[in-house]
Amino acid sequence: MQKILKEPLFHFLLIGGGLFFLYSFLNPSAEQLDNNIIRIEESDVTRLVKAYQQNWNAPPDSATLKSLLKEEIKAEVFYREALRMQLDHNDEIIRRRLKQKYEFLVKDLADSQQPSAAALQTFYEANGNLYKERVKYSFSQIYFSPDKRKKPLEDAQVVLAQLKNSPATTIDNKKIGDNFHLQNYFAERDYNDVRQLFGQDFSKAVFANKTTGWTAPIRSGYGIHLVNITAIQAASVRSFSQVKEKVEADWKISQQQLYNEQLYKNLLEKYEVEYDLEKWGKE
Amino acid sequence: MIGSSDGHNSGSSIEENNHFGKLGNRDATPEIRIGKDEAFIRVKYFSAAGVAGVWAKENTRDAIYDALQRKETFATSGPRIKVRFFGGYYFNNTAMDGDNWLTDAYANGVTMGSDLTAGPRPLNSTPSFLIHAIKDAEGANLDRVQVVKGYLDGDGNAVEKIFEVAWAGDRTIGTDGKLPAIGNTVDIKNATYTNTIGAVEFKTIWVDPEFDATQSAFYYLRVLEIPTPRWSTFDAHTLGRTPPGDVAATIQERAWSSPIWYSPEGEARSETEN
Repeated sequence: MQKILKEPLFHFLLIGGGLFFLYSFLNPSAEQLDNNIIRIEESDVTRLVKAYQQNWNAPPDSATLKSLLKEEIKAEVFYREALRMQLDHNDEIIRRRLKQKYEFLVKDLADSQQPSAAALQTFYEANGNLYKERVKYSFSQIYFSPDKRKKPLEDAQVVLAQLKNSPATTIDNKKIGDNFHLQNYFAERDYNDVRQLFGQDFSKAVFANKTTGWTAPIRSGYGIHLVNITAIQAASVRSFSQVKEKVEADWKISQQQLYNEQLYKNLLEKYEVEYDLEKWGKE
Repeated sequence: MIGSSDGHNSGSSIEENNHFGKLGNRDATPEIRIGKDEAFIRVKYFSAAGVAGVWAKENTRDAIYDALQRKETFATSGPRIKVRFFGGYYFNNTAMDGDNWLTDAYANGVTMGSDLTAGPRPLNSTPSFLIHAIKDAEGANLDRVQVVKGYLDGDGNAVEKIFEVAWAGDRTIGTDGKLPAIGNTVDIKNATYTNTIGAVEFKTIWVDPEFDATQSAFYYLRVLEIPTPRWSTFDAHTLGRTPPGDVAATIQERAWSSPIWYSPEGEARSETEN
């Protein structure tokens, strides 16, 4: 049994059966089509009301519902006539949509699979690059505004000389510098985080420091900053237990891709594909 | 109010110094964009793309859509200028001092995109506005902040009036009511500019000197950068040519806030008036 469950052919039959079932469920019987009967069921009304409510945050009143139903009947008439005229043939949008629906069936199958702990562990080890943690810096900063000072860089250098001789606990960043529109302390930020807040030049200068402590004054687009790096967290791969949920999601995506490829391979065997190898290249 | 692009490249070409066109191969190179091909010369007049700004509590889909729904959004012509705009009846002179001014502003007033009439209002009071504009960390300094007020005059004509509220440098408003230009550091030949003029940020409290409690009005912010080279000037520099004469060689990029609406009846505008 275990072996059968793993057999691609079994998956194919399962999907095939599912498709057949779905088709007969979603499509009106041939008889109904032939007799040109359009029957609005309770379930159709519920569906229309639900869709309307989702768009407008309120149920339709009776006049609106009436016009919704009229539209629904009109759509069904046109839909059936179009099918009779085979207007769905050679239509790129319809073709793409049906292909997508077919692929969704495979997605449902992949979603229903429960991976074993060992399978997840193997996947995690083989795909470490998906679970990387970047280098992160924690730092505080004192701001010297060019709007408020004639020589912000010189002012910062004077303050820096004093700070280097003071114990860290006595320093109140806010009282020394100028008001800044962001906070004075930033915890565990990577290069891009810092770049988004202060610009590229500042981020480069901060991340060029390999030790903690006060750096030389750093210039950003906003002015001059005295930066005290308090912690540097090296790049790492997050542990399995930290990222287990993501591993499971990634595993499912990879399974789905695998199923899709397998399914396509099986289906393709039913077909004889003719094309000019010389003209269009070989597979 | 948001800024955006009309690009067809699946990428927003927002930077003047990194403009890659909007129409795929049809305007993909400097030669085509500012070249002599009269058949497709229109691209020369297109601006680089704009940017949508959103004040969200966190960088999540929910928080961003919440901000869009309450219209706490702003637009820029490309740079990442940041703009705050609050209106209210309970702001005093120190409303923008201290570390918690933002929290207090949210509690005591309304944000951009809101009606000023919401909530209780003291009798005979004039609203005041909190204005905060911050330059792009990688971009040009700021020239000035303006408030644009719109209302209907006695004859029912729509009027838009511009108030200068904060500016960089030593300038005074002239007798014509206008603030002189800030100057221009752009070197057109080399497509460069310097941040030796302009300000990093503006933070100010403003009261409409012509406020009329019986008159409906909207107010929005406009923040201007100092002049910088237009994308066509960068393209001309790349090609070692003179910039095209029929478009501006320098521009003043800008940001616009969503408006705050004042109405005298003390009711929010109905949904249908939006």
